[in-house]
Amino acid sequence: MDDQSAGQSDNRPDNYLVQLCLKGDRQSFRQLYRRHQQRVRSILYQLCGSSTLDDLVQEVFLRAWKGLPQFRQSAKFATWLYRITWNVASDQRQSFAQGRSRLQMITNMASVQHEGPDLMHLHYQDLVQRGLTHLSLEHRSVLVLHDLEEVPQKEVAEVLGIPVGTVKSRLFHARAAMRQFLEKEGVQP
Amino acid sequence: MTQLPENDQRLTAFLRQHRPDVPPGAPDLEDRIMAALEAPPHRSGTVALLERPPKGPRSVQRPRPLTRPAWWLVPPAIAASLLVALITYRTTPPPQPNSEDLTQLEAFLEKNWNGAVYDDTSTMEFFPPEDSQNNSDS
Repeated sequence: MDDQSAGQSDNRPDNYLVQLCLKGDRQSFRQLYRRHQQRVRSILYQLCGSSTLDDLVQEVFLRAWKGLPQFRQSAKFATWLYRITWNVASDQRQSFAQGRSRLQMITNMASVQHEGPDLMHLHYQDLVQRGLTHLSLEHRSVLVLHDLEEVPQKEVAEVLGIPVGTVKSRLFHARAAMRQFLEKEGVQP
Repeated sequence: MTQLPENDQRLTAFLRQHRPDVPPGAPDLEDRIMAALEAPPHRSGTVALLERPPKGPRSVQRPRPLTRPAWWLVPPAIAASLLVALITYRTTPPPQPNSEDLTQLEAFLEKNWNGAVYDDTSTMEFFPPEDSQNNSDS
């Protein structure tokens, strides 16, 4: 299937494409990739940085492809995919904690921020990035998924495997910590 | 959906507005991933990446040795050894000294007892009086 015919299936729902994938149609999986890769990439970047971002994106989609037979058709594909993304990010952070240089990760994050023209915007981007790194993984995850990626709280709960009440609680504390960090840096959003 | 408090709305809007830019992926990333789907397992580097043992201490898998040492036997063995030693000590009567040993022991005790109670002239041989020592020095 070429790009033109792939484009025709843009409106098909995710779960229908999943059915086609299970019959061996890899082009349907390409559609799913194009539909979701940007958000997966963004989540991975906010949680793990940019040093191995392409590898992590690749790992997420390969795990998804291999895990499709276990995917429950009643579930939402995006939520299931974010769950895999979260697992890959957690594994990656563990390997960082086991000795890889976090300094390199932070440096790579910072290197992206020197490409735009607006200095204040760059400054605020830097603040947001540093604020995120100050948060614990639990708080950072809910903030990234809900506030940045706009995933609904119920889905965040499914992705992280925690009750919705815990999501609300973590969100409250994460925002408070982020607000405190920003105020300490002289910004009052 | 419940409405956020105003300060939370401002914070969320600020975060979304100034979220760091996500770096673009490699131009051929999509094709690489699709190629990895078609590649037979264990031959593609990317599939090998997927199938490598998951990272993290909980998922570290070590090869199991063919014969496992029975480490669980060590503590019971030590306990059994101590028990046997204790029983042996308690049940075995101490060796009885023979008459020659008793005679030697008796003589030893008598000699030391006498030395402690009475002046022992024999010690004079080893520790002569100070006067005689000074005279000999001069």
